[in-house]
Amino acid sequence: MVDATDNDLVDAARSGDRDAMERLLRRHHARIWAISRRIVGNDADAADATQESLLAVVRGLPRFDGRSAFTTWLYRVVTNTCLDELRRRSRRPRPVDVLPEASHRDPDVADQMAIDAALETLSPEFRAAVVLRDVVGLDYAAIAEILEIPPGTVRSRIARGRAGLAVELGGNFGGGEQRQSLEP
Amino acid sequence: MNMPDDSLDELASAYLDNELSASERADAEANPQVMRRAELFEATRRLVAQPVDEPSPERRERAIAAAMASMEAQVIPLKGRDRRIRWQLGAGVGAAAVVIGLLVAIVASSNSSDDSSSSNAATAIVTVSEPATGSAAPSGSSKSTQAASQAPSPEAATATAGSDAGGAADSRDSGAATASTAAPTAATPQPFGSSTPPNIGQYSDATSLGQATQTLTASAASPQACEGQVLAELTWDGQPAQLVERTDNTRVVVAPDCFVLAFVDRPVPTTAP
Repeated sequence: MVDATDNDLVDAARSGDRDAMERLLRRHHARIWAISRRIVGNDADAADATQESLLAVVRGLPRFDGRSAFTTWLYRVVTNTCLDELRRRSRRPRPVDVLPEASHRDPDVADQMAIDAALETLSPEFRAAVVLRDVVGLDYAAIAEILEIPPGTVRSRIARGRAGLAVELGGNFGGGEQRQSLEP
Repeated sequence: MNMPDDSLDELASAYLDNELSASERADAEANPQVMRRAELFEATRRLVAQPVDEPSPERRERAIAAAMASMEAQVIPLKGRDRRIRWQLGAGVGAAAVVIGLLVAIVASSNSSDDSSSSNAATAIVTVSEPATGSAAPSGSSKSTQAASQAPSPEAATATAGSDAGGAADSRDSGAATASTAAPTAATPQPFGSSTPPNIGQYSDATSLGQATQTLTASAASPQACEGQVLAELTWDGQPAQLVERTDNTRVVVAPDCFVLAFVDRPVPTTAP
C-alpha cells in the first residue's frame, strides 16, 4: 500500500492492521501538530494536545462511520482535543516555553510570539475557526461540519477573529487598528 | 456606502476566502472600505498561516509510539468484553430457555390435569419432578447426581422426561408434569389453579416465575451448588442442566459440573400456595 489513500488506511486500521494505523498517524502528525500549536499557543500544551489527539484517533477510529471524510473527522477530534486542553489549562498554572532573550530573538521567533499572543486574545471558538481556515485551508462548509455550527456562524467567527488579530498584530504590518471586544 | 463594521469585515473576510457569490463579490470589489479590510486581513492570514516549528523527531516518535501502544492495550479489554458479552448473551438465552420451558411445562401440566392419558412425554422441554413426599419444597432431599436422561437433540431444545414422567393424571399428586413444545397459550400468564406443580411454590402464574429468574454475572463451580432437590431437567444454552432447589431454599440452574448458571431470585416457600 505504497500509495494508499486515507480511506484504504482507515479501512485496514479499523480491521486491526497496526501498520496501516501507524502510517495514518505519521501521515497526519504534522498537520495535527500545526493545528494544536496554533490553537493552544505553546509547545508544551501542543505536545499534550497532539498526544491526546493521536490517542483519540486510535481509540475512536473503530467508531468512525465514514459518513464524512476522514480528515473532517480527524480535524474535529484535534479541534475538540485542543479546546478541552484550553479548558483544562484555564484551571491550572500555564507552562512557559523557554524563549531566547529578546535581544537574541530572530524575526521569525518574534513573529511567532506575536502570533501566539494575538491568537490568545481571541476566544477559543474564534481561534479554532481562524486556524482551520488559515492554517489548514478548509472552506467554510468543512469548518462548519467540523465545529458543528452553521456556515454563517463560521463566516462571522472568522471575520471577527481576523478583525481581532488585525488589532493585535497591527504593529507587525504597519496597521493601527483599534481594539474591540472579541467575545462571542 | 456605509456598512456596519461587522458586515464590512464579514464581506472582506469572505471575499478573501473566495466564499462570496458573484453579486456579493461585485459589491465587495466596488467598496474601497471592504477592499482595505480585505488587504489587512490578508496580512493577518499570512502571519497565522506561517509554518510552526516542527516538534523534535523524538517527541514525534514518542507520541506515535504511545498512541500505537494504546491500540495494543485496546485489543485485550475488547476481547475480554466480547467474551463477557458472549457469556452474558449465552446466559440470557439460557435463562430465556428456562423460563419458556417452565411456562410450557406449567401450561401443559394445567392442560394435562384433565387428560390422564398424556402421551407427549417424548417431546417435553422440561420435566418438573415432584418430590417424593408430594409436599412443596421439602428440605433435606438430595439432588440426583445425573439427569434422568439427557436431551437427544440440543437444537430441538428438549430434555426427555424423567423416569416417572408421563403417566400422571394430576401433576400435584402424580410426580411429573410434562410439557409439549407446541403449547399455544404459553405466552399468556396461566393461573396454576388446582394443577399448580408443587415446586413452583409461591408463584401465582408462569409470568411471575419467569420474572423471578435472573442470571449471574459471575459464578464458580461449587459442590454446594448441587446439594438440593432437582426440580427439573432442562436444556441450557444447548447443554443439559438442572433446576435445583437448594437446602437454603434458593433455586439455581446448574450445569452437570455444578457450575451455577442462573438464580431464581425468590426464596422457595415452605408451603404450597
